[in-house]
Amino acid sequence: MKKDNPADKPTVFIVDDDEPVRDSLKMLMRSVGLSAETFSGAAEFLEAYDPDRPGCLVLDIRMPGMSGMELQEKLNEVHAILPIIFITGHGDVPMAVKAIQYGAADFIQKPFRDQDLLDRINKAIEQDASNRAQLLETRDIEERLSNLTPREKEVLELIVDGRPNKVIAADLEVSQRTVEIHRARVMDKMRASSLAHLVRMVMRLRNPG
Amino acid sequence: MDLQTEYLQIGPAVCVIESDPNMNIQLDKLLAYLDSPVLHYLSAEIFLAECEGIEVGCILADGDQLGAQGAQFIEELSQRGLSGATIIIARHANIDDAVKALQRGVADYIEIPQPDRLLLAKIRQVISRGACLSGPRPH
Repeated sequence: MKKDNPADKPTVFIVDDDEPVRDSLKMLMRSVGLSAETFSGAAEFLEAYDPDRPGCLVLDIRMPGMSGMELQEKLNEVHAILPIIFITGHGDVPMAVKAIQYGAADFIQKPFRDQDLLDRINKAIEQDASNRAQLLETRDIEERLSNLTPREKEVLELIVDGRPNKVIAADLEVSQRTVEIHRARVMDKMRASSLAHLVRMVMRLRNPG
Repeated sequence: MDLQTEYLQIGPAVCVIESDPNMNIQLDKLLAYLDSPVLHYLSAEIFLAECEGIEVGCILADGDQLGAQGAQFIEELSQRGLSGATIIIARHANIDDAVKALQRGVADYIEIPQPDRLLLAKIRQVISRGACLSGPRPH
């Protein structure tokens, strides 16, 4: 488990080639108590990108060098979950559609009202926090699962498939008493409070998200 | 077997939600290129009232006609598991409507007019993802 450190506080990462825009966005974030970091280009952001830092990315579409959409593709390649809010002065409908289809959280056209952007940023940060919490929980379940012996894993699969102990015993050619012992260990190691809880945890890994 | 039931045996349907007769004629010409049965609905309400149990390949809905009700309609579609099969077409397309529709899970949002070929490709793409069985009206 990671300790609390300042990096766990959400940060609004601002990527825009226009310095006055960057500065005014940063001021806007600070004015409502959000911490912000600015980058003058996509490459510069990519260099500093740390998947463990929560928050959201406010990204200009049109920039010299790597465009905002190209940065989105690069982040998708590394399975980044940081939500992206695109900002553009020259957007059109197909561009907005493509951005969201490729996983952007939002797309906003200039000029916008400050409050409109802040609302979208807060929504994205909330979404990011909930995604990360889910991810953490999934990892936690995976870790518990890794502590099971191969035999216990077999029993777990059969339990989750809804087989009663008697059937599992016959399947694995062991006594029912042995299955009961395995079952108790599985429940204990998975820290499952009930059969339903156990099934939920395993299903979570089978269909993530 | 009645005619409509027989017609629907061909495969998952394309459901068109459109009240403008001219648009319906144009869309029919276009959809004739597909091997899918085409069902027409004059409004979102009629579609929602009648869609239960239909195997849906794609829903084409007129965004201009949905207007302010669009958000609620998409919400209903998503509760029935149909938003991912939905394409919104709009003459008066705008970025905000497009973003909201996609955030709520529709497959595509297309500004029209578009070349037939392009619109067909997008419809085929949605159909190819597999049919959705329209669920009952949520309570």
